Amino acid sequence: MTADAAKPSVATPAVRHGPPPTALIVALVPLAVAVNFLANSLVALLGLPIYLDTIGTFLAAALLGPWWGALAGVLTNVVGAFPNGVANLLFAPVNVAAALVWGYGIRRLGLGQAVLGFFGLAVVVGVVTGVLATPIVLLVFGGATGHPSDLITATLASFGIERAALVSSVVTSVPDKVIAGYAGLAITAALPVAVASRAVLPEAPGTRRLAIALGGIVVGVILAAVAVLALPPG
Amino acid sequence: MLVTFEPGVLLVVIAAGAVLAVTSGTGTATARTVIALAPVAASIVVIQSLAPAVCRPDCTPAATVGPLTIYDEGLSRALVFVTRLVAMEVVALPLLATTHPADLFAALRRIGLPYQVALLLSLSLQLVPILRRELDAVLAAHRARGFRGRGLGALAPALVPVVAGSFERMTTLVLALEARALGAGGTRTSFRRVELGPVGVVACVAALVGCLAGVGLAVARGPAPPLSIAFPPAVAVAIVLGSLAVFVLVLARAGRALTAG
Repeated sequence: MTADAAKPSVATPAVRHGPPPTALIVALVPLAVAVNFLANSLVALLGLPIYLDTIGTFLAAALLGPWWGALAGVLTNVVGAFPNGVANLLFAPVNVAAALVWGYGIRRLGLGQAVLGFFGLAVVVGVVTGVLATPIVLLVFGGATGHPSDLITATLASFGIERAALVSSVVTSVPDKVIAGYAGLAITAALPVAVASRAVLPEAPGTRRLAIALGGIVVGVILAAVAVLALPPG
Repeated sequence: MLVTFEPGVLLVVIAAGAVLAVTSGTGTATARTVIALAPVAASIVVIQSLAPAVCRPDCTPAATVGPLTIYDEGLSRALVFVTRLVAMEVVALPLLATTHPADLFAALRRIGLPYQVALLLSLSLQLVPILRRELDAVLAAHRARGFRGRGLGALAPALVPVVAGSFERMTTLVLALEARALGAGGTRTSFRRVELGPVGVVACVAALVGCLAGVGLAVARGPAPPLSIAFPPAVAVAIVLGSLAVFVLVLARAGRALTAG
């Protein structure tokens, strides 16, 4: 993949508008769901303090449209319920919100055209999903989810469990979505041009696009490290 | 389960779920999933018992360990939250473990789920183990070439080739589906046939009535007063310290993974 991705593209095809063909939907949505599930399993396996369950949602929302991304998000939570339990289903609205913000931001508002806009959009997705996840976490889990981000909740709990859960959720969600967005960008660089050209993403053909994607991931890593390590246990 | 904090109701639900799991032969799978809730349960106990939200400022101290004070109300509420989670999983898991996904989707199609969504769900479920195998192969290839990615640094090099390869596989699959009239109009038929007999109808109606009655009862009774079990200090300390140990293990693992990248 690296060799293909590293090839300088001779000409960037025009962005393809209009509804996506059925074949592309049937190919990309299950792939997006599987990527969400797989990345989430991988970070759990590595013990990383992030979720990464929206890389595929980003791909579907950017390349197919916001509502296809939302479907991929819902299906991710449904598929996740089989091995991980039904509590997964309760977070489906969060994945839907991520898809809608990403999809409309990139496809309607054109925020994916510049690197800065793309980064800003990922941050907005992180804030929106962090805020949306908070009431679910509070109502179902009492403010804790068994995720390393609970350290932040525990540290700030004296300020009130609601505020602590909100801060914890947003602070971990923002770097998570930045990393997911840039990981998704790295994946689009490896997809066929006819598919990748369905969305206007940061202009960085070939190695440059990958370099920007990796740069974004590094920024996300730094933010994640700050989120988890900067706040000492209370 | 999500509308009540009454431990009696939740324990009855867990007992019913346990009976369901044992009689359906899914006891081991259900027990495994419940055990997998340990990190969540530990976090809930630690956070709720040390900083209870429901009783401030008049919380009842149950025990003190060094600088930490454990409160009865927080520990009680934490155990109720854990019980709610266990109840939710114990009831749902036998259904998921004993029903083939295709049968589940065929049943959902009978009540109006579009076949395209059912198809996407089926394809997603089939793709997950395939991608997992490919991911294992990619990670093995990395190791064979001396690349030992850990932490976040291992993610992109592992995921990108798997996804790129799978997209080609999916494109081939879609061509095969199109050759079989994917997207054509008309009534779709399915190899899977799920019959809804009298027993099924009675079970559905009973579940629906039970669900509505439960929600109605919970709404009519209003929010329950905060539960406060008077824990013996030794028990409170044992529960919280055990949970704290699991909590710290989860954090230590995350810290190692983050610094390894």
